[in-house]
Amino acid sequence: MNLVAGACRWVVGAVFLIAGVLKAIDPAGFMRDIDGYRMVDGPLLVAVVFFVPWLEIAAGAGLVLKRPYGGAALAAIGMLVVFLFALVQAWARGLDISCGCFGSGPTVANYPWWVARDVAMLLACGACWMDSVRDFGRPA
Amino acid sequence: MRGFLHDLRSAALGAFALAASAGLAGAGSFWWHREIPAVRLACADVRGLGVGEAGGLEPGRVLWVDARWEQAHEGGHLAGAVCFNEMNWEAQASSLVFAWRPGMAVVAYAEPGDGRSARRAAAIARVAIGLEDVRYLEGDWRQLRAAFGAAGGEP
Repeated sequence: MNLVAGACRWVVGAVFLIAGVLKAIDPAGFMRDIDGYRMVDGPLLVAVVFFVPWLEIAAGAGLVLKRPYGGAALAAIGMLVVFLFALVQAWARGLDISCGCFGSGPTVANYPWWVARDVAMLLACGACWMDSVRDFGRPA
Repeated sequence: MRGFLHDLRSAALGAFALAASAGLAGAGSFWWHREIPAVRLACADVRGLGVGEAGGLEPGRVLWVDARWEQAHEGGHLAGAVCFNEMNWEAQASSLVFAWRPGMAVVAYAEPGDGRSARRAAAIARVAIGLEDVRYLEGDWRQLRAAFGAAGGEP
């Protein structure tokens, strides 16, 4: 379990760090991608564009450094749940979007792959979360 | 169970600390990038206008901006409305500029329920064109036909 959780921690942490940095250095591109989801607009769009990348960086660093391990896992889980919701609603509405998951760029909408990737990362974050809980498996 | 709740609370505090750090960093990033056109557009000083409030505007002192597609505009619009939408605004800018007169309120409208397009057109008129007193309609523009007249057919 420790080996699996350790691998999950490093992989998810690195993915969040890279994704966050790519978005943070190109806020205009990230804004265009988020705008494509048609969920937020105006000042709320700006708040999302300037908050999410830095939260990804913070969570990624937290997972890699294990400080705060549980907090980073929880933040990552929260973000992935929101990302998953955004993807599913865009998929349901038939929007032709660029994922924006790893910075902006011309991509062809590939919802099944994006959703599968998010679910896999969610499971990996779940493993990290369980690893972070000190009394995991202890009888109540 | 108590231990789990304790760890959950610790994790929540940790997540809050990370979110606070991200908020500070994000605020700094926003300050650094505040002049990017996309950011200025999203932060444009435009506000929503209800149908009732719009109905009280003085005809001749308001410039209607139809933020829908050209085909929808041709199918019927408020009298004097200028077609100016997010997709083709650069080509339509001159029509908007020449229709505007000092002292006019500029109100963008789109299909009911599509406040995003109306707000976006209003933001472009405010930021890119530089018009003042720009607002966007929150509601159905068809309710204003009696007060302001309509043109271009029956929608």
